[in-house]
Formats: sequence, C-alpha cells, structure tokens
Amino acid sequence: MGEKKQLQKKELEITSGKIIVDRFDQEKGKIVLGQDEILTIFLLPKFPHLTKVLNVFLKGEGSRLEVLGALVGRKSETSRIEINIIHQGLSTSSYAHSRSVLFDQSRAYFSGLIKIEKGANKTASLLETRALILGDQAHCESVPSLEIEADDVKASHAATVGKLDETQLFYLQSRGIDVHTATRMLIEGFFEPVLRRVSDEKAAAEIRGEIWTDVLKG
Amino acid sequence: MSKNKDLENLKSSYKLGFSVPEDYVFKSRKGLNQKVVEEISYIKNEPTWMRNFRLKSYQTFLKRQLPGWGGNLSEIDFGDIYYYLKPVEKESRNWEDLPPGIRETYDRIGVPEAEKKYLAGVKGQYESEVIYGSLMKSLSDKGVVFLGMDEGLKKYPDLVKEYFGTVVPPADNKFSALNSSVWSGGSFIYVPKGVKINLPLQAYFRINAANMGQFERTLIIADEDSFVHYVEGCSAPTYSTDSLHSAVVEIIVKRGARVRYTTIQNWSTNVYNLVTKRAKVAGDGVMEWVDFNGGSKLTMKYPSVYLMEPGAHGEILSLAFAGSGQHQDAGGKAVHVSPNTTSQIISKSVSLNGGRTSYRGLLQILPGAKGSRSKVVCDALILDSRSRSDTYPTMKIEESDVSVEHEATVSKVGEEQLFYLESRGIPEARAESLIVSGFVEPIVKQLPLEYAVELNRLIELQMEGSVG
Repeated sequence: MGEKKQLQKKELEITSGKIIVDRFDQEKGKIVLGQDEILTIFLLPKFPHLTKVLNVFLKGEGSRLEVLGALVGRKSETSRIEINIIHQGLSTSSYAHSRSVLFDQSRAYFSGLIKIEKGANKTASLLETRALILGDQAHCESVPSLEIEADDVKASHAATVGKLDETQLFYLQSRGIDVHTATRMLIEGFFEPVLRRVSDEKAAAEIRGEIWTDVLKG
Repeated sequence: MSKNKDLENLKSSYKLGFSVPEDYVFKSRKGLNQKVVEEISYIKNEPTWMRNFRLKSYQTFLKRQLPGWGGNLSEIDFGDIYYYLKPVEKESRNWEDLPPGIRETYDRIGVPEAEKKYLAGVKGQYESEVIYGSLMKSLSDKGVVFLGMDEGLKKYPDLVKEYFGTVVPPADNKFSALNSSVWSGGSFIYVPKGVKINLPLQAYFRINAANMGQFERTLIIADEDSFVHYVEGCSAPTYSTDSLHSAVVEIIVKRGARVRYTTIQNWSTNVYNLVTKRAKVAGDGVMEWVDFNGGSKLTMKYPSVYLMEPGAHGEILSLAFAGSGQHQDAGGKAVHVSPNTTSQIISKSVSLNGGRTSYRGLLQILPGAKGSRSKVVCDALILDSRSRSDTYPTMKIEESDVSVEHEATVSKVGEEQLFYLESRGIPEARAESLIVSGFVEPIVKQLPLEYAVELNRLIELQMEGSVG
C-alpha cells in the first residue's frame, strides 16, 4: 500500500487517464488496475546501476495499461528491468513499449512477460522493445515472453536491436550537418515514438528534457 | 473408464499405434547402472576410447540435474526403462531378410514403398539397432557414406573419433550425457567435397517394446561445397506406460556446404522426446533445420546453429502441434560467432484440445560478430479455451554493428476469415482446418511433396473433431 502511495505522488492528471513517471527510486512495484481504470507508466531510469521489477495486474474489466520507457546507458551502467503484465479481467488491454540507447560499455537486461490468465478473454496485448547499440562494448539482453491460457485474445511482441541507420546518417551529413549533430538528431527521432504517446504536453516536455540531459551528458 | 475411452479414441486416430510381438536377440535388464553401460559397449565390441567415453558420460549423467525449465520431467522413471534392445543379429540389405514382424511394421509405415519412389538411401532403426540400410550405387561410387552409427564407428574409426561429441559435448545437458553413455544406432553420413545429393536420405526410427529407451546418435559431415538433405521420421505403439526417446544429432557443415535436416516427429503420445540437435557451420556454409513436432507426450527440442566463420547462414523452421495431453516445448537457437553471419528462425505452433505449445529460443551475437543479421518470427494459434501457448525468446546481443529483429504473435483463428469461408458455404470445421493449413503453409511448402502430403494428413488427423 505504502508503495502505491509513493508512486501516486508523481502522478500527473491527463485526459486519457493517469500518468506515473517512474524514476526507479523504488526497486519493486505492484499495481492492480480496477474496472475501466486507465494508467500510463513512463519508465525513466535515473540511476547508473538499477533494477526494477514491475508487476501490473489488469484485474478489472475494461482496464487499460500503457508502459512506456526511455533508457540511456552510459559507461558501465547496467540496468535490469523486469515487467510482468498479468491480464486477469475481461476485455483488458496493454501496450508496453520501451526504447534504449546504449553507449560505451553499458548493459541493458530486459525481461517482459505478458500473461493472459484463463478466462481473460477479449484481451489485446502488445510488448515492444527497441535497442540502439552505439558503444562498441555495449551489451543488450532481451527476453520478451508470452504465456497465453485464453483463446479469444491477441498478444504480440516485437523486439529489435541494431545500430544507427547509415543511410540516414549519410543523408543528414550530405545536407551539411556534422556527424555528432546528425547522431543526436537520429537519437532524438528514435525516442519519438514513445514520447509521442504521452498526450499531456507538460509531462511530455518534462520527460523529453530529462532524456535530453542524459543523451548530452556523454 | 473415460481415460480408457480416451486412449481408445487416441489409438483409432493414431494409425501407427500398433505393436508386434517381441522376439529379440538381446534385451538388457530394466534400469541403468555402470554395468549396463559396459554391457552395451561389450556387445558392440567397441574400441576402448568409446567405452571410456560412455563411462565418463554416465558419471556426468548422474551428476547433472534435470532442467528446471520446459516441460514436466518429474514423471520419468529412469529405473523403469530398457536401455538396450537388439532386435536382430545384423543389418539387412533386403527387406525380405528381416523377421516378418519388423518387415510388416515398416510396410505399414510405408518406408519400402517410399524408398522405391523418391529416396536416395534409407536406414531403418528398430528399437536400439539399425536393422535395414540401402544407398544408391551411384552415390556410394562417388564416395558418399551412409551407415548406421555403429557400423560407421567400425569402418571409419578415425573420422568418427575426430568429430564424435565435438558439436554436442556429453556435458552439454543431462540428456546429452545420457545419450553419450548408452547411445545405439542412428546415422553416420559423410558427403565428399563437391558432391550434391539430389534425392533425400531417410532414416526411420521405430520403437516397438513398452518402456523402451531409444538413444540414437547421428553424425553428419558435409565436406566443402557438398549438399545433402536428410529426413527422419518416427513412430511408436500406444502403451499406457511411457517410453523415452533421447537422441543426439551432430552436424558439421564445411566451407560452402549445405545441409538440410528435416524431422517429422510423430511419436505416440506416451513418448518423452528429449533431443539435442546442433550444427557447426563453416564459412559460406548453410544449415537448415525443418522441424515438425506433432506427436509425443512431451517434446523438448531446440535445433541449433553455431555460425563459426564469416558468411555462414542458419535457418530453423519449426512447426508444432499440441493436442490433448501434449506439450511441445520446441524452438531453435542461433549463435553468431563470426562476422557477417546470418540466421532466420520461423516458428509456427497450434494448440488445441487442451494441448500446450511453447516456443523457446536463443539468439546470441558474440562480441566481434560484426555485420551479423538475424530475424526471428514466432506465430501461435490457440484453437480453444483449454489450450495454452507460450513464447520464451532470449536475445543476447554483445556486438553493436548488427541487425536483429524479433516478432511474435499469439491469436485465435480470425473470425473474419472463418465468417468469409462460412459465407461461401464451407462448414465451420472444414473452414477452421483450411485456415490452419494456410497458417502452416510457409513451413509445409519447404518439404518435398510426399512429406508435405503426409504432414497435411497428420494435421488433419489432429484437427478432427477439434470444433465442437
């Protein structure tokens, strides 16, 4: 209970539902969503070495969850994120999308589980992770799992790991933009799909600012 | 009562569930100890290194724990299994020379007929030993070797010693250690440089006795720029007690060679199928696994490709069907060791009537494997509310200059698709079966026509009465 209260402090009211910006000052989080409850959680890690285990139960009928994440890894920073999304109620939906940029020797371990329990029909669930590896020694591990025990559902996950798109980089450089600026522009663009989902402009600006500070830090 | 009825139903749909009376040259005592291992080696009159290999592996087997993941292995009683069963004195070149029971079994499965029509060579393994073998003369003239593993060890001791246990070491897991200590039968294939075998080589594995353990061991060496397609099939009688099938398959793909390994797994639903399959691929080599799992009680099998040199390519096509009481824990592994290597894993699974399918996979890119690319796609269909589907993919990326994509989807049969077909006057059951056939099509079309027909028939059998 205390845990939930702490999280609620950082809530910002937005039109589509609540948004929690989670800066990982709690290692574990458990959230239970009631009927028709809508929640957005934005994961914005602030510590060089951190672990986060987040369990969200979509218990109430019609509840909806959105987990967004933006992570910037520097030097030998290591992050471990485990997200378990458990669908228990009817007609629930979840969307999880996390993007990481890994510089230097940074490491990111991500494990995400979508579990749809028996009887939790009419469920739609998507889990997406994207990582951009920029450091020669950077390392990324991703285990996006699905456990589906109901049949009237749709559950998907997608994951990609790669480097910066060289044709995009070349294009920008051919327009007279130096390689550092071009790289930063592409990183900014890389985070855009998760930032765009935050409908509250004030919250989005705040998050954008924090990510930017992290990117420029190096 | 109802359990017996279930078994009866099962027997009627599983056409290969018959058994013939046992009349064997040698049957080891039930259970496993050092003496049984020594006995197997003694009967086979093996060189000392192999005997020691077995004994060392047996110690590893005792030490290793059962895997804590995957299916339920706790019901396997290692003391209640026959580890070695020798059905005949030696391998035959003619089906007519085999005892009538064995000959009849293979006739009913249809192996001799297939051999005449479209195979370059055949091995038949019955219980622990290879009892029949053939190879087209044109191929043996070119230096192609297709032998039972035991015969391979006798005739090509140096080649076997050089490669045996190098791709899958005995200590890899508990079941590879078990296989390494009691292995018997399996195929030994050597394809010389530049030789391309156009027709498939086939091995057919049959378990006949109850409480049987079958531990075949296969080693395929494809020399530079060669090609071979190896197909294996399997079946067993339906008993109320469980049998164990635990094979090890090792494949060496040399520079520029291509190996395709197709499995059509159709064990009866009282067989534990716990198999380790792995290929090491050299520069510009290609390894393709086409893996269909339709039978067995529990299958745990993840064909792997280790891409050792630049330009190596690995492909894994996995198709699983889990019906009542079945758990198919299948998938694949691709390990990129060198730069500019590529891999693709495509998995499709269907669970129905309370069955469970799990995709379990690993994609690993080691440091320095620059320019590697990989794509993993897993799709699953769940046909009813009693069934279950899991996806457990692991991606370990330790190199920045790579491109990795993974996607997975679990869903039911599309209502729009069903509605469309029904609106065209196709009954629901037929429509669902059509949609499932379309779903598995990308993998089925990779099979030679005869096997595709067989596979479609197996799928239709599984689907029978699934809509109720």
